[in-house]
Amino acid sequence: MAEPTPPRPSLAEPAVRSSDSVRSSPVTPTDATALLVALVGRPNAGKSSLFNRLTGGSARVGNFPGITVDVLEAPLALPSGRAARIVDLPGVYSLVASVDPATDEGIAQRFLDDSAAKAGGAVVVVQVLDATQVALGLRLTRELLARSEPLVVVATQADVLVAEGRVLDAHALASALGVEVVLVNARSPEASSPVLAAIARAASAPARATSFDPDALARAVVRDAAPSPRELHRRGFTARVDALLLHPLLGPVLFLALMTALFAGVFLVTEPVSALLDRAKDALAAAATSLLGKGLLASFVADGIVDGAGTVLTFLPQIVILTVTMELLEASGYLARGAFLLDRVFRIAGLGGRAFVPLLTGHACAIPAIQATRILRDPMERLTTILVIPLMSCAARLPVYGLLIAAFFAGASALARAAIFVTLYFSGIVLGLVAAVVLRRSVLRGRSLPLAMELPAYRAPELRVVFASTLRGAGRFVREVGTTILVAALALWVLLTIPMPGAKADGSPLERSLAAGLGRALEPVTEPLGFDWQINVGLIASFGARELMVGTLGVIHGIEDADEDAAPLAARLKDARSADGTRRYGVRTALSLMAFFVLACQCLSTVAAIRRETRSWRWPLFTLGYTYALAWVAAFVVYRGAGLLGLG
Amino acid sequence: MKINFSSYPMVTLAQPTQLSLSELPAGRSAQVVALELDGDESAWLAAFGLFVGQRLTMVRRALAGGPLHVRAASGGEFALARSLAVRVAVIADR
Repeated sequence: MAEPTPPRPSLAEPAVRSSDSVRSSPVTPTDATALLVALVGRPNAGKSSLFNRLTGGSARVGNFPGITVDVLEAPLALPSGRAARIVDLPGVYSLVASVDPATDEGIAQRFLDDSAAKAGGAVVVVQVLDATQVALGLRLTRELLARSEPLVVVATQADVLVAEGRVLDAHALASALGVEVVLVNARSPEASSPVLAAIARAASAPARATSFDPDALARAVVRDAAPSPRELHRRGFTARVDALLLHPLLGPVLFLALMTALFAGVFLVTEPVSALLDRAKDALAAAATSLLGKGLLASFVADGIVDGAGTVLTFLPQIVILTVTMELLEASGYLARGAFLLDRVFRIAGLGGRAFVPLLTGHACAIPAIQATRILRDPMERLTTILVIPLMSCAARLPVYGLLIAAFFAGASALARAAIFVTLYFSGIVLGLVAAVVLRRSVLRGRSLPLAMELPAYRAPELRVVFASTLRGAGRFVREVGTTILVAALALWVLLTIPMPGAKADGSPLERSLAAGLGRALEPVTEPLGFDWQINVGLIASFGARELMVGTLGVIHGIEDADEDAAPLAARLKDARSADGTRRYGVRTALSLMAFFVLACQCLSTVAAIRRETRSWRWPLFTLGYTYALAWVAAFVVYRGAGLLGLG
Repeated sequence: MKINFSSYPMVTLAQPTQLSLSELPAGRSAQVVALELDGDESAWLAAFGLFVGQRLTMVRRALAGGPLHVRAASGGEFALARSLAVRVAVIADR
């Protein structure tokens, strides 16, 4: 690949902090005196379940190969009383196959290398080995034994093994390997104490085998017997479900139906909750005003802080519900099937089937989606996915779509309005795939790694793990996106309140504000798209966070609480007149603004996330540049095209 | 040189036929006999259970050149791109 090398980002940033005892660790271990216990294992081996069991806390359990994107860390209580920390590394298939350091596998590899170098001997590696796939797990064991750290092998899924009528001779395996081997069911409370005891013993007495053949050893230590009828049924279950869900014709139809139901469900459930949160926000703002009077401080608290923070909260229900659904799909094993179904289509766009997971997540919020690209092993595909995620219609665009549809298409039937909505969504997806094709043939040329992906057996998700993971996701949204929205809302308050130096004394304070001055300065650029300075102020506001567009337009048009009820603002926009009495905005302005909103990356949090994942300013700036250029061109074409069609 | 094929007797192949994994029909099983992959690819695929000597069953083949769904005898199922499967030589079971 002679083309520009993608930036070599990055060890995981500390994406999760301080939720009870669990926190995400900066990848390099910090405390040299405590014993560091690193959980290593193939994806789906039961690693995260064991982590939850040992720490009492919770980590994400994925049934999609390698989706654990955070390196979670927690204190560990060893029976010896020695201070210890445990980290749950992303799933790895191999430590010797070279990978992009930014992917999950790369993160795990680097973590082990760094901790070995820094912590001296104070590291114990715990390999979580799926007892139902011993031969495959032992390949990783062989790689781990070649390293210097003491090793403990925890064979999980003991319950499934029993159901299958098989027996694993843990003693024989332990003596063949020369390390502690513990057989447990990681979901059972009894799993902790034997594992902790083995870790404590291994820390002081490392001893190991030199070499072995994984397949021969697996045959020697696992005794097969006739599977129980229940097990036969279980095996048949995955095959029967797959026959339906992966059916060449039915499979894609069911997939599309499921995704449609998912999104419909997200909207149906979140709508009332968001409205409730919005009302609470307004009550709080009103309380602040009555407490602080009508001065500048009251305005700052009510319009700046409460409004900004409230905006964050109203998006939370959507994020939570989408996260729960994604977690359930992932833990059940269906996401891997989705990747299987979509791989052929995505190849056309130069992406792999697995890219659908981050792209789907992008419809809730780009920030977790960009982080979810770590499941992609191919650096080119990963970067391409990161660059097109901002084109997916995230939750923050919906209020703007809703406002414009209410204002300019109120006369249309419900079906027509729904069609506009769906068109906006699909134009984001289609243009995203087109952008991927173009990127893969220009700046990101290069060979793709072909698909090779585990298809795990279907299994019931562990609800408490899904719950804990959702809690972390919501926390991350509030922290990362929320801070940006809050800061942007405060900056906007300043821009709307402070007068432009040298502004004429006549007109409203708003017309004299810094924001209005900036909006007017942008008019030459936006005039061809049909945007005047008022819309430009809205665009400036939404550069920080799209969420702020509706509220800002409300302020400009003198409507309080436009966030809560867009109807008065919609009417105001529709009836706005220019100085000469002509209507200021028409249907074509609305269409143009929608086109702009679908495509422009108006979100500082996204820019920051791209910067973090690619470890360079080049790609976030590139994203800003190309999405704004694309948005301008699309808005121009739509505005002029609508004009040619005679739309007002 | 001109060969008169009709003068040769019909032969039944004593050797089982070798084919690429991408050609294995759905429902058929086979044993891997050779891999035409670089070191990284081999290590990566071996971790899924695709290595010389492994027995595989073709569970299903996606439409239009899509991926293959393969079950490994040592446990586990995986999806594999056809571009990789063509470089895996197998001998199909009778």
